Amino acid sequence: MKTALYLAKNFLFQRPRRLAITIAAAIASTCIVLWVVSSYEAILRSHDVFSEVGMSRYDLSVDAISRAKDRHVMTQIIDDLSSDPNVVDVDPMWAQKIVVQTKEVQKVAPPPTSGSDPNEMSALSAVKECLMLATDAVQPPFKLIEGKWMTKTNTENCIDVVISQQLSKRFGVTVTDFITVGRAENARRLNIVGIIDNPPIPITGRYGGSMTLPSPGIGGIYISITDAEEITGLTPVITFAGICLKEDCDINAFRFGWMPKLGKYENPAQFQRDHDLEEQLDEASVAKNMKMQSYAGTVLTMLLAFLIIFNTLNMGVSEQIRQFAMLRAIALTKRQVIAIIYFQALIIATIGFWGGVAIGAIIIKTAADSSGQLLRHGAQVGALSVTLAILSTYGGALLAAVIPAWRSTRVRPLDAMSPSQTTLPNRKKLLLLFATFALPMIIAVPLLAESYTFPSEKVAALFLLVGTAILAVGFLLLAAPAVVVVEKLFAKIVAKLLFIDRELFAQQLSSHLWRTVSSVLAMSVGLVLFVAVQVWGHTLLENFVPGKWAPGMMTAFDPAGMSSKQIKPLYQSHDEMFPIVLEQPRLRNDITGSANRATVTRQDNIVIIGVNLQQALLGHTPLLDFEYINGSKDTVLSALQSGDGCIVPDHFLRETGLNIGDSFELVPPENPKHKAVYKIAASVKMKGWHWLTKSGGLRVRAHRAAALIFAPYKKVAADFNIHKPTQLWLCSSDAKSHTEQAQLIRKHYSRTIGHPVFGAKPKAATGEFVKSANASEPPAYIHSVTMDDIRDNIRTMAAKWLWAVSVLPLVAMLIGALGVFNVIISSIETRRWELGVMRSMGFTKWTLIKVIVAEGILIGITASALSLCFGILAGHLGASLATYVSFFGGMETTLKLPWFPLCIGITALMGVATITALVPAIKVGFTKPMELLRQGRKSF
Amino acid sequence: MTEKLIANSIVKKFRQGENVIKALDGVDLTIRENEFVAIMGASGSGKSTLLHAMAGLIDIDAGWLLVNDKQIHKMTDSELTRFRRENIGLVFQAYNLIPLLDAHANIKLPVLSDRKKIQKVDELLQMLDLTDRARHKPGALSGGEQQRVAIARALITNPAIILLDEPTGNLDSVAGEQICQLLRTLCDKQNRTIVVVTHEPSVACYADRVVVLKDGKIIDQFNTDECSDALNLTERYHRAVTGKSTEVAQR
Repeated sequence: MKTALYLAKNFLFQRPRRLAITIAAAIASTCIVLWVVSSYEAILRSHDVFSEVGMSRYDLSVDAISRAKDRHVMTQIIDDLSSDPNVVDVDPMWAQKIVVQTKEVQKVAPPPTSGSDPNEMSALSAVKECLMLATDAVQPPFKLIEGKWMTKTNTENCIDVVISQQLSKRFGVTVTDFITVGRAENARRLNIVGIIDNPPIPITGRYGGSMTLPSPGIGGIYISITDAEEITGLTPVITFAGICLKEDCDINAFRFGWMPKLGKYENPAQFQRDHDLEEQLDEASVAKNMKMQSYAGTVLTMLLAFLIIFNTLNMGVSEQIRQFAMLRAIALTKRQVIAIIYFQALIIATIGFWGGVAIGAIIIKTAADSSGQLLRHGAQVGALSVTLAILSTYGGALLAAVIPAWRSTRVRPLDAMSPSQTTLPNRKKLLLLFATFALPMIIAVPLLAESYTFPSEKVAALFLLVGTAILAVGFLLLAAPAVVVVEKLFAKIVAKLLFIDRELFAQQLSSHLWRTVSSVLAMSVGLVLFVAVQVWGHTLLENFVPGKWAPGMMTAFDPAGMSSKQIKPLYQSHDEMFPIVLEQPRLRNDITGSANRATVTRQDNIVIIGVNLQQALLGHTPLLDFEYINGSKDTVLSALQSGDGCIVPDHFLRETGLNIGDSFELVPPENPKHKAVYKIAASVKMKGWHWLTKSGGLRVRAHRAAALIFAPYKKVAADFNIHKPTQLWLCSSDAKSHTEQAQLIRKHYSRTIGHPVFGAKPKAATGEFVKSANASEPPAYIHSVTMDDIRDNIRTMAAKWLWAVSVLPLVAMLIGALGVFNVIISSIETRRWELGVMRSMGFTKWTLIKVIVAEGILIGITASALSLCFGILAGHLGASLATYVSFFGGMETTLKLPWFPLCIGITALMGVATITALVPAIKVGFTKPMELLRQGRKSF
Repeated sequence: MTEKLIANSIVKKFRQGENVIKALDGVDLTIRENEFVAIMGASGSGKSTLLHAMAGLIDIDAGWLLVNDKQIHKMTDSELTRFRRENIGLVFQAYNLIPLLDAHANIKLPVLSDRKKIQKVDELLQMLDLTDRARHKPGALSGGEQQRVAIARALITNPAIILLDEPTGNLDSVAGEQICQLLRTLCDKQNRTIVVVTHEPSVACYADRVVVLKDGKIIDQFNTDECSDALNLTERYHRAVTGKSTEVAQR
């Protein structure tokens, strides 16, 4: 082994430049793993920190075992626990998400529109959700930083609350400031009387999320139970209770003594300790996503490390066949030769790993210090990051050594005497065989995905996994034939473009097929991911963008709105304005089967819009320009005679099994006993209704809805007890008209309420608290949003997110370029003599440079072609199967090719491939002919 | 003297497409200890194939081979490697030195894990007059020096048999002669058995015996002391190969 190690070291250093490039790639791979995993590790660390102190002064907490939405701890349990002699204190707590209205009034430059008031103020506004923890505990769960602990205040207009340190920072408020909860006439002011020092809530458990941790540390606003009941109008329940035990009580004995009893209650409960909190946080979806990203990043970099190290080792074996043969002849066994290859791989991995850890740690620290946005979950290089970096670097290196090691054993000692030509006599057959296997694989997977309806989310996820793997194998097999085909098809064109003779680089790539294939694959990894992300994202995005059917502009009023009487003059004098009422009620019976779905796809409610359908559907430019699937405009208009007809999206019929003429019942939130029954008059295509409800502020009670339904104004207003229009919708699609109308509505609103109204720009909806206790009333404002704004907003947000996700693939592409760099250098090394002869014969240095650059371009073309095909198929496959994983509400995943980003990706790859070839090309081009001949002779 | 190397009815066939070529066609050859044998023959006569077979570098199709009392044709790959390492020194026409290692490192390559044998490197360098070239890499050595380093590498394991394939093929006449003299010395003073494949009569002159191959068969073998000089040896060789004397052939 000593001999093998000695030789491995020497063989590696025989090509120092190649070794440096390979090590640089290994270092970069390690850095990527550290970068990706450090965020996940930071999350795990935050869980650790939170769980350590999150229980506060309590030894245990008790919460319901059930994960149902209405889960709670029975009061009987609290009573029984309180009577236990070991228990000192039991503090019941009610966790409830509440909406906080946030505003910051600031002076801004007057808007450029004519006729506007120069002293007008602009308010940015937003509604933010936070977790309210209602408790009657006599002492604060955590240390008070400022102010005092709240008591039951319950005076008419003044409710005292204590807020968490994080909330104070987040909203920029402190003791003596106030916050507003609820909307419009239900808005209540809460006085901040204290700030407590609760532990930083991990991102996974922030603001309640989908889970509520049984810890007093989760609260944003701490309030007395009576006050909480008053401001929410809800009946309090015990979400969990903190339990303090006597000092001499054995906590384990207490816990296990009570456990069987807790399980026997009607609503069984369980104890939780600090480590249970940590476990719950680790299992949260954000943590799971980060974990998945970490593992995906590790696999990606392992693949990169594999391809680049493979390239180096494989080229090494090809170049050192004679040396291996000689070693086999004079001293070494096959095993020792294999050991040489593996030692080479390990040397590269070891330097790459340690270099990567050192550089990665510095980069992460610098990035974290300079910009928190870069690592928004924080960063922590710890055991997991290092373990996964080891896995990626060493795993990639060891995998990369498999084929070169096998090839090295195929070197015969006899080759030292007369090296056999490494020709593949049956290469044509082999390539045909590859293509024959590859093409059915590539075609079958998308066809199956399109034609087959998967019975469950799990089957779809499994298909996605297996399908992508099959596609990957298909493209791997196709890589070698692709190199030959691209060379045949494009070499001539590239030669013409570069004004060189095609014969000068005849079959240069295909005669070194395997090293070309591995460099093509190394470059493709990044672009495949990039293309897949872009195609997947834009295919899904297109369905989120509201279609032509939607109104031109939507305007909401806040805080008080206008009465029907006040708003009437507006829409009566403007045909294009429509008052609407909206509500988000639950479906009386679970007709969408949401109870059986996973949490993320559980929708038990709909958004219903009351509008004068008769007018909205008619006219030259109708407000709602639907494409009818079942029924028609006429059936709707005739159904309106009965007053309970409604228009539903087509998928609603599929999901509920209802038909035209069938009825369904809704539960009015304010009057649950009232039967709000609607008859389906027509089903229509309603592309992008999902984000219209999100961006248009139509989801007033829940995050997700099963459908957007349109019904007659009067019926909806009556069923849901709404006395004034909630919004005004405009049917014009003219931007100028929107501005004018918004001005008009604002002025009208201002006149109506008797004081200035501020315009709010929906794009900048990042409101803050009113940081003033002196402000008597929250300022009135209108919120106008055009459909074009919504569409632009969705596209911009999605594009930003997609580009953020695409950073890793682009970095991977750059690392992959190092593989090409190595191949080009190797190609030059083996052709120095030939290049020297060419120069001696009179070819200019620029011809030489162009010949070498042509190779890089051809590698780039092959990588682009493969990446484009694989990326598009994988992206479309992912988009098709995403419909099984989340709620898609009838959205169709029609393939959308985002040509602009795809062109950027391909241009980047071609640029990188060309530059990668250009650098060594220039170097060799400027070498004197005699020097080239001398260097070339040495390599014989 | 004991037999160091016995080849008995060796047959080696190569397949070229659909044609089967008999490179060795029932070769019987016995080489004794401390003997210096030159194998001669025209291109394609099978002389290199015979050397490769004797080194265990290729499998034989029929017959048997006894090298240093071991039946090498029955050995596995790793047994053969060990056997070669301990018993046979191999020298190639193209030297096959590792370019990145200096002369010293190249020589010690086969015995890296054996400290005692590593100490012998300096001895060999001195013996082969390479002491001042010890730290030079192959690129900085002349052809003759490189071949001497290759011979030193073959000698480091102290093999009883040294097999050389055209050792002077890449060398000028002066360097070639130096190598031949070195081989003769190794045979005479260190009692090594030397088999050299060559087509140069001037090299064969240094051997004790010349074996002439044609079409995979031994057609003649004679002791060099039967020839008065290199010219005479050439004459004998030509006669064996062509059936005519050099003079007739020239005519």
